Formats: sequence, C-alpha cells, structure tokens
Amino acid sequence: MKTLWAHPLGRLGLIVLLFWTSVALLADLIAGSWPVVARYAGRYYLPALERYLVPLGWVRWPEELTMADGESIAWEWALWPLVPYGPESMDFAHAFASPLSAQAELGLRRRHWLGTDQLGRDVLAAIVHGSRLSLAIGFLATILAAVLGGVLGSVAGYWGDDRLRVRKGDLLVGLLWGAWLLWAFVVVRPHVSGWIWICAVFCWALSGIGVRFLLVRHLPWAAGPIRVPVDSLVLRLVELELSIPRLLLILALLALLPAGVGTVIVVVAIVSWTAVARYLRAELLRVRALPYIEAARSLGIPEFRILWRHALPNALGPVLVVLAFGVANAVLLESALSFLGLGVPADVLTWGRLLAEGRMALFAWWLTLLPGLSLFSLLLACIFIGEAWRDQLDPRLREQLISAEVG
Amino acid sequence: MGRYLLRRIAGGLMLVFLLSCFGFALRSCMPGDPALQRILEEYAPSPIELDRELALYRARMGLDLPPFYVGLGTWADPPRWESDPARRAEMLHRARSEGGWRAYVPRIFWYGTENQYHRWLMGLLRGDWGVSYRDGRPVWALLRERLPVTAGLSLLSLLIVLLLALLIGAYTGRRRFSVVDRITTVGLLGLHALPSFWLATMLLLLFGAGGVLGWFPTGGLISPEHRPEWPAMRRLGDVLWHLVLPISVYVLSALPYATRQVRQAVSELMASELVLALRARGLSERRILFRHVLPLAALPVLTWLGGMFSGLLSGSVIVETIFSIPGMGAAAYEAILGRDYPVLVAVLLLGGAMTVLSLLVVDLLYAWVDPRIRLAREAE
Repeated sequence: MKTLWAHPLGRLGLIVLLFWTSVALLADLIAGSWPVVARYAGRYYLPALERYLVPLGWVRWPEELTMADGESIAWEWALWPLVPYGPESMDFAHAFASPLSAQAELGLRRRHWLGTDQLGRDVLAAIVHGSRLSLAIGFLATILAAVLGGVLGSVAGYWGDDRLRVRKGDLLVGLLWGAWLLWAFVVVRPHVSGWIWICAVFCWALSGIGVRFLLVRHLPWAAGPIRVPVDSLVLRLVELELSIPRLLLILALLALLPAGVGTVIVVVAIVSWTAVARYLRAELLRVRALPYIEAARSLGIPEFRILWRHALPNALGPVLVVLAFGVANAVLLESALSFLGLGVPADVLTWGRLLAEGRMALFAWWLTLLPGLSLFSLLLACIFIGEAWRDQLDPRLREQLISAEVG
Repeated sequence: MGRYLLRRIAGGLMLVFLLSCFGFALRSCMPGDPALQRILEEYAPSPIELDRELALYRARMGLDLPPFYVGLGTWADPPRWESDPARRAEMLHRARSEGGWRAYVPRIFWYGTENQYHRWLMGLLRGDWGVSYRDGRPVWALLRERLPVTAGLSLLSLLIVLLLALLIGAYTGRRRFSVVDRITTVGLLGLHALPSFWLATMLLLLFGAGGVLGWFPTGGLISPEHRPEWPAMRRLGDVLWHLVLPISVYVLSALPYATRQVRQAVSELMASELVLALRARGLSERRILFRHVLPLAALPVLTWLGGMFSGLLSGSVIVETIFSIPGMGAAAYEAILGRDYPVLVAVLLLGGAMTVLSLLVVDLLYAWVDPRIRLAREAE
C-alpha cells in the first residue's frame, strides 16, 4: 500500500477510489430528503440514519414522524444534507432542468446543480446514491471471481500435471461413490422419503470407506499412486469459457436466471474468474519450482500448508494487479448491462441505469455526461491502481524505467 | 505439424459439440412457442381437444422423443420411453418408490438416434434453425441477412485498428519514454478506461444529427432517401457515412490494447541484436523498421486477433443496439428482450462456432509463421 502511494498514478487512483467509497458509504448524509441532525418536540434525532432502524424496531419514533416524509415534517431545527434531495424525490415543476438553466426560484440551497431527469429527480443525488450499488456489485463480483479463480488456479498451478498423486484405490472409490451420490441425488432423491435417503447416503459412505481400505490393504495395484492432471483439466475449462463470446454468454445466462442484483453479481463473476485463474496458475508454476518450496517439501510440511503459507503469498502479486483491473471490469460490465436494460431491475439505482435514462433523452446531455464521467473516473482509478501495482512488481520494466530516466 | 493440427481440430470440434449441448439445454429450458399457444387456444373449443391438439403438435415436432442419445435411470424404471411428460413423471415416481433395491442401482439407457438432440442437430446442419417467435420468420433467413452486416463492420474496424496500432506502436515504440510516447500512453490508458457504451452515447450527443455538431446520422445503415437505382459509389458512400460513428467506437475501444502490444514488441526488438546487426549492415532506419521490425512486431497482435473476434462480437451487441444497426448483436439484444429464444440460441451457437474457428485459425497461423512455437508444440 505504501509503495502504491509513492507512485503518482497509484496515488491518484487511490484518492479517487477512496473518494467514491466514502461517497457511497455516506450517501445518506450527502444527499437525501431527511435531515442529518434535527430537533423535534424537544428531542434530537439523526433522521437520515435512524429512519432505516425504525422499521426494524431498534429505534422508536413518535407516530407523526413515521407517517410523513422528511421534508413535510415541521422540525424545530434541522441540519440538512448537502443536497436536499433523495434519489427518489420528484420535483415535477423542474423536470429536465439543465444545470445551466437559471432555476432562480429555487435559490442556491435547493438548486439542482447537475440538473434533473424527466421526473424532476436530482441527478447529483442519483449519482451519489447510485455509487453504492455500482461499487458494491463491482467489489462483490470481483471477490466471488477471485475465490472461484483462486481455488481453481492455485490447484492447477501448484499441483500442475505431475504433482497430484493419489492412490488408485482412493481415486477409484472416490469417483465411483461420488458419481453414484450425484446420480442418486438427481434420480432417486425425489421419490423416496427423507429418512430412507439419509440412511442410504450413510450406508453408502460407510461402504465406500470400507471398500477403500480393503482395496488398498489387499490389492498392491490399488495402493499404487496415479497422477491426476489437474492443470490440464482446469485449462480445458478456461478454454471452453474463452471460446464463447463474453456478452453472448452473459445474455444466455441472463435468459436462464431470474433478474436481480444477485444474478448480475454471479453472472459477472462467472465471466471473469478465468483471468484470476490463468495468472495465479502461471505464477504458481513459477513459484513451485523455486528451491525454498523444494526445501519445504523435503521437510515433510503438508502440501496444503506449503501452498497456503509459502507459495501463495509469493504468487499473489500479479493476481492483485488482475484484481484491480477486475474491479474496473466488473463495474463496467454491470453498468453496460444496466445500460442495455438487462442488468439490475428498474427500481434499483446504479450508474448504468442512470445512463440508460440518458440514452432515452439524448437532448438532456447532463443525464449522459455527468454519470458517465463519474463512472469513467472510477474505472480510471482502478486501472491506475493496477498499472501502478504492475510497475512496482515488474523489476525488468522498472529497470528500463530507471535507465530511461538516467539516460 | 500433422499431429498438432489433428489435435487442435479435434479440440475445436469438442468445443463446438459442448457449445451445441449448451444451446440445446438453453432451448429446452425455454417455454413453448407463444404464437402456437395462442392459435391452439383460438381453434380448440374444449380443453380436451386442446390437449389432443397439443399432443399432436408435440408428436409432429418430435417433443415426445427422448431428449438425448443416452439417459440416466434406475433398474426399477420401465425400459420404454413415455412420450407424455406428466404421465412419464407419474410412472417413474411409482416405479422408483415401489422398486425396492432396484431403485438404487443406476442404469444407462440408450435411445439411439431417434432423439430430440439428434433431430435438432440434423436440422441445424440442414439449415433448419427454427422460427423466430417475434415475426414467425425462419431464423436462418434472419441470420443470413444480419451476419454480413456484423462481419463487414467488424472486419473494417479490425483493419483500421491494426493499421493505426502498427503506426502508433511503431512510432512510440522507437521513442520509448519520450514526451510523445508518454502523452500517447496516458491518452491510450484513458481511452482504455472509457466505457464503450458511454463513448457511443457521447459521440451521438456530439456528432449525431440533432446533437451539438450534427455531422453524422444517429443510426441505421442507409438514409431514408436511399434508392437502389443510385450509382454504386453513391450507395457505398451513404453506407460508409452511416458507419463512421459505429466504427469509431470500435476502433477507439480496441486501439489501446493493440497499440500497447505493438509498442512493447517494437521497443524490445529495437534493442535486440537483430536490429544492431541490421544497422551494422548499413540499412536505413526506415527500412529496418518497416521491413524487419514491424512484421515481427505484428506477431503478438496476431495471437490477440482470435480473441479480438470474440470481443468484436460482444461489442456488436452494444454498438449495434445504440446505433440501431441490423446486425447479429442487435438481433441477440432484441431476442433477449422479446424472449425470442430460437434467435438467441442461434446467435449464441453461430458466434461461439465462429470464435472457436477463428481461435483455431489464428493458432495454426501462428504456429506456421513462427517456427519456434511449431517446434515447441510438436515436442509436447
């Protein structure tokens, strides 16, 4: 993190990312139709935050406060957010108000600084609140992709095609018994009662363990090791995924899955895990050939422990770069899908959905320009961070940089 | 080379088969033809007759056949295939709950070629791609109309991207870390971060008719006053005039990556012994760059071309939708919005098959051009 801060691009990226993260976290205090702090009937409230807790029963409000919306309540004293509009507050008198129009009757305080859409909703408030889901979907999808690609990539890279050796008996019993379990779950499970099913699975597992011990004890062949080419298996999976055009795959998945924010996260993760897997695999293939891993293996440290404690930390560098680009990619994909009307549902606010509104009303340039610039700045920040990280990592490139600076 | 070629082709065929299975599964998940449902409800006077009509329809369409060549079941199941899905489910439930231990033993059924997947696949190969739900036209006719549009648009943009990338990459690669190079690098980085759909909308806002400058049309391929009897040059000019904005979106979004690859390759090559030897022979810098360095620098771009094709197809969904160009991407978009599954499956299959083909061709081309790769792969 410190080295990232020292890099000019990295610092700029971190600042912008930090800015948007804090905007997303503090959205209700920056833009909203409820005061941040207010006094009512002699008591102080934090309406902007407390209003979420009232329906949960954690905070008790007088009846007349819960019935009305924040603006129509006669607060004795109130500190309003910077933008006195929520993302849903409509101001029909100022529909499609341009940021450059006078809006003299509103005054400086209630002016729509960045304009409004066709229902008179404030664009600045929408950008502030839209940042929440745009960022959340980007980060969650990347985390999911990192877990998926991380597991597959590290297994493929660390064990490769030659290091995963299992007893033939283990493999045989595992495959056969696992296949039966899968088959039975699909074919038999719907037709038998729960107890019979549980007993059957229990007996099956016991018989599997028994057969495994018998085989390994009495058959020298079954006790012998066999190589499992995990690397090739994972690579085939990556190739399969890469051979389908990305957006077409997304369209097909969206046609099958129910619409919603969760679906968008899952779909974005499904199309982006391959990058993580590929880089982690390549790095681990390099790291596992290093002498210190050999030393650890010769000491008899369990393979999982070597992978987790010794190999992974050294292979993580390039993957972090990929993850930084991955966040940009996920945010971009989500906004593109929402822009096309295929992503988040219409009642959920993200930057992509805002831009979709702008596309419907091209004359209202502020609907396209301003949310697009916020999106662009976020993507640029992620890419800058990734670039800075890469510069820190690649010693060859850094050497070249230094020689260029000197020569 | 022969063994490598065979292996790659077998792999490609395997991918196409998996893709077709995915398409078939997608097709099986979709609800029935809405138009047919409506007609049947109109013509059938009673529910009993509607049932009979539907059964007839199912038999005619082959929906009463087993879905695949092989099926999984238990030894308690009756061996024959029951065509009516409701009756089949009931029969299986009875057989499996009363089947005792037989219900726990797996059995693989072989149904032969009389199955839905086989029929569907044969239909695809014959050119029978189903009928669009939206307008009742054959999907194949729609694809034949739209494929050339997307292909032409993609190839034209690809050509421009390649040309520009080679030019800019060669220029900046030779003068690495100069002022021009730094400015170009940062500019391309910014371009890389620009969402293509936003770029397209902004271009429309700026240059589209009714926008700030209003230089170019906002969408479509031809202007309303376009006449087939116009001279060929005028017709071509009209189409190109409509394509300026879409192609700029493609080019601007693909350029950063391609340029970066060329720049990297050129700068590495310029520092290599090869160029030193060429300089020692007294060749001019221009000749070294164009005759010796650029052909080699184009190699990494070649590998990227295969993936680029899939990227262009993905990009076409966005660009063609925004500029209302009647291509494959727009077809896929309209299909998913209208729940027009036959078209969606067809576009997915065709796009996937074309991507697999292009990856294969590029890989073989690469192995053919670069002997090092060929030797390494033959040694595998």
